[in-house]
Amino acid sequence: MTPAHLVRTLAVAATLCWSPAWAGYTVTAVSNPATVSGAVKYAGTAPKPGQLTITKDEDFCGKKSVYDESLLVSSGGGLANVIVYLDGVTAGKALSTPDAELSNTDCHYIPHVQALAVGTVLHVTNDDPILHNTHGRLPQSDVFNYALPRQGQDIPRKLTRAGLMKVGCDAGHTWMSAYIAVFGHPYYAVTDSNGQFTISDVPPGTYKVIYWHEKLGGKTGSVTVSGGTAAADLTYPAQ
Amino acid sequence: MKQRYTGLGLGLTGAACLVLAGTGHAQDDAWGDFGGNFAAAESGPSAEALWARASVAEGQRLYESLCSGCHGVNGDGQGVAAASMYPKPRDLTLGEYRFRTTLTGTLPTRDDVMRTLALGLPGTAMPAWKPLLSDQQRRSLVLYLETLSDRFEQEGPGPVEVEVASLADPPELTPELIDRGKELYKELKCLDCHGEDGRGDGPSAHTEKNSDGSEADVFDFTYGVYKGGIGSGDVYRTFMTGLDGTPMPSFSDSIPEESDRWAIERYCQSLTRDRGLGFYLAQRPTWERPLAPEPDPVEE
Repeated sequence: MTPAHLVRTLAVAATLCWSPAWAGYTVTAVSNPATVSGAVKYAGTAPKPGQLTITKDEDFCGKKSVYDESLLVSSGGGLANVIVYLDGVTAGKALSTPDAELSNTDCHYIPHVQALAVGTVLHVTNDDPILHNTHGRLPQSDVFNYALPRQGQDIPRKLTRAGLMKVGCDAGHTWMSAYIAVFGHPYYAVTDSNGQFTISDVPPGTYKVIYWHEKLGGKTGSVTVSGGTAAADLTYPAQ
Repeated sequence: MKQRYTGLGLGLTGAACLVLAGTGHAQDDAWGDFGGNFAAAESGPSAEALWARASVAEGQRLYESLCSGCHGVNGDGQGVAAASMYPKPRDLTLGEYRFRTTLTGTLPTRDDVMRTLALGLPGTAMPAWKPLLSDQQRRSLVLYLETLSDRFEQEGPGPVEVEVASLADPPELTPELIDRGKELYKELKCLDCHGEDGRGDGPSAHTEKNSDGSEADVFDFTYGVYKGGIGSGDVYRTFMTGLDGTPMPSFSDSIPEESDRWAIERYCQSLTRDRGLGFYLAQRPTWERPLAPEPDPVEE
């Protein structure tokens, strides 16, 4: 990712109000809950993920191929790693905060994209026998910057600020990148390898649906629900 | 290297200008650090009372007259003098502070900011304000700085990672301690960035960027001018908390033993011994002189 690309990405993120704007969210019982699900697709030909160039710790990182995960499209056109959320839900189900993990494995991050709720404890771990330096950052400021010089290290960190974090490795592994979206409400999802997502227990109402993909940027849709199920599909034009 | 001297020069010039302008007289508790305890401790005002006396309005007045030239009227780091500086003045609206005692990615304590204001950042244009501003004036400045970023209202200071009190009690300096530090420096891969000899020339040194997009200037321990200070615990504090907004990470999870933390600090400082800027300036006329200390001229 070039600096210009990063700036654009962050600008998109900023326009979509990735900010701690959810401080007012309250937990209530949801009557007549709905499920919003959908498929996010990419209109173009599925690109073949390129192999990333290893420029440091070649002895270890070069042993296995590390692939570019910035645009993953399934054979059916499903687009993976799109963050989808409903904007403007002020009350509803409780936030789900099971522990999560961001692992440094074979010189790339697992998972590449994840969405979590405020209050989640994120375990930053290192499976590799080399130094990783996992640096998570919101557009304005650092969230954490941990050295992981030891294999098997596991650093728990509670996430307290909502927003879209970009994660990189400051140990010279400039090809490593991950995204972590942190929400102050529970109405979000990340599309799976087939582009599918599900957001459940949605209170009745009309909501803006926000989609964000690291390479293809932000899109908005709309959904109206009153119990039952509703579809919120989206197709990104080819680039 | 040249850029560093530019920053230093500007800093000195800036400080000199301020002295000439006669701004900010040390007031009420300017004697606070004299060291003697003349009054019974209980009779002095509590920390809370001292902070209650500080005022945002006074802080703003001081900021506008003393800080805005570099840090900008709005605190965005775009003051009129900023263009010629390296490193750049901090953008205070981000609420991102490098020199802290708190967890990586969190806000500093008020005492952390007081310390930076008092001592300045050696090697940069940021002067030490202690000779010019009283403790009370600096408290007011801290209160004003807190208004420049929403983070202070939303979060408050982060959990303390390094207790200041624990830094005041270092173990005895022994060759074994330094040897242990050398071992850890390798084991923890400090040399990936800082280089085998601590010269800031490790294999990752030129790949990393600061959050403002500038190239990260990996610290050269042999240079000897430490932004965070060279006192007991200063290096310790830096590798425990990391420096937010730079690639320097927190090693708090990686060095569980207190004695190991001191060992690393002492090893890093040992790289500087007799080789810092002060050394070069002092030795400049006769480069070939041996490193052994000269006999004290008074005794001769």
